[in-house]
Amino acid sequence: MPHNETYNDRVVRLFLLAAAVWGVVGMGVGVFIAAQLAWPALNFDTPWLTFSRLRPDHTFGVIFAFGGSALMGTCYYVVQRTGHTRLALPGLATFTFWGWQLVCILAMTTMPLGITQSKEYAEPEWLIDLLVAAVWVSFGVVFFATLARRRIKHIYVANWYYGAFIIAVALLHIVNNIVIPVSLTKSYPVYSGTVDAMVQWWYGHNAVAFFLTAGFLGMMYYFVPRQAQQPLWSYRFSIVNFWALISVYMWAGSHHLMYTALPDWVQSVGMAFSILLLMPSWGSAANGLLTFNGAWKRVASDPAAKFMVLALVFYAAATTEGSLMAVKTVNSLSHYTDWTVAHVHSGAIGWVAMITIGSLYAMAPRALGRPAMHSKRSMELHFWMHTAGLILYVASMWTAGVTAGLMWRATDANGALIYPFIDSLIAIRPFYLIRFLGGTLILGGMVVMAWNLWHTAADARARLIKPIPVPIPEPVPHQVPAPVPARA
Amino acid sequence: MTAVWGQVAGIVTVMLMLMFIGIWIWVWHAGHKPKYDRLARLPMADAEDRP
Repeated sequence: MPHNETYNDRVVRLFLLAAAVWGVVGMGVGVFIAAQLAWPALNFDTPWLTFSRLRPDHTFGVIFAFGGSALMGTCYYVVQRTGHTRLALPGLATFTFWGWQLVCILAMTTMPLGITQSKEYAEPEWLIDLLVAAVWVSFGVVFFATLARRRIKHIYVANWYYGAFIIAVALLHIVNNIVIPVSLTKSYPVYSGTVDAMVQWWYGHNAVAFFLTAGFLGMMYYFVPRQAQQPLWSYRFSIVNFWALISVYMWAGSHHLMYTALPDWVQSVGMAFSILLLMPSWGSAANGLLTFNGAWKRVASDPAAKFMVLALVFYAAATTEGSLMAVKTVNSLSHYTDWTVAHVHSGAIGWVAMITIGSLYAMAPRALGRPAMHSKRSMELHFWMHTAGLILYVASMWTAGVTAGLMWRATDANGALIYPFIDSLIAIRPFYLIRFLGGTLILGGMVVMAWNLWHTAADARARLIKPIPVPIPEPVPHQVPAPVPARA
Repeated sequence: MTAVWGQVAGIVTVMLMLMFIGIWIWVWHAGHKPKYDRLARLPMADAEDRP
């Protein structure tokens, strides 16, 4: 059937560019605040340069600006390819790009000025939250409208994860940010006391679950088989893991509030569900890794695939660690120490960043109209810089965390504390220097990737690339909803 | 938690477990295999049809 329907990759390219820029910015702020912890004088006695104000800039920058841009870009790419259809509502899709960039800029300029709700991972004030809600709902409308016009009857599993990510993040964001504004820059939550803490960590944990896990699993389930050039190891298993993940994750948030005023049974529920989470976490990690079975030679020569394999290894490792840390006895040692920082970064730098980088390297040549990335050697360099930085980071923070935890609980024969608090800070300072070195390597790798993407995008910048035609499959009888006809 | 809520929580837990086992059985139904085998290969098509 002759037709000229093409994929809308323009908005994909915009998100790809934004992800590269925000990756450097977000990780750059991270390296700076890591340096501040090693050398506190680096705050220059300037309020907006203090750790407390820049730390949310780092987390927002890497999670929502870098991760969010990568998720939205890959989501638009994947939903078109797995549905064999063009993106619906192109104007609204473009709005989601500019709207999301405005959200990121507003959040990251107001937080250092002290304009904050002081809720972890939900710091931006109410006006920005309203804009987030508007952009997010628009994102969902574009995604589901595109799904509705797909030409393949079954919805590919990556889209299930992307769909859960979109719906759950909207729910979490809106419920956690119900506030009473008292001025343009200040609001108070409708929740108070322990309820406020529980709502915040229901949000915080599920931001990890649905933003940093479900969304990136959507990425994994498409780009891993594509890069391995092997069918997904078990499609059936991916469906079981999907339902297990979304039904279990929601109930584990209370493990962030162990040994607090939260009722004891709620803490135990969080602990029990955290152990159950091992099943879907290991299930997806195994499914991804086994997809590479038979293609290990390809992995050895493909840096993008190397990023994906290590991402899956760290996904399995970080989720195992997370379930263990949710056990009360382990939590009594780990909580409030740098072990938590090590855990979150083995998930963020290991799983999230590496699956993102691998997927961006896989997607970029196709979206930018090139047969391959500009420089394979720089991809290889990036992989080794990132891996070395990651190992330095998490090993140093694990050591610092266990050291501090053991020093804090050490008592003499009379039950008195052996170490004053300052001693634990002095003991872990060398590890802060190693963490700074690791972060610098990771940031350097992101600069290498941005340089590589910039050169790969040369044809796109010169507007020389041609849109990719949508392959129109043979119609399936009785498909509901009916696929849209190809546009001639 | 009152005794009534305990009973409700128990029933809901059992129902959710049965639902989960039902998903396993449904997914492993032999009739789905050809479709799932086709879908497992879907991402590979993107690299195959390069212009």
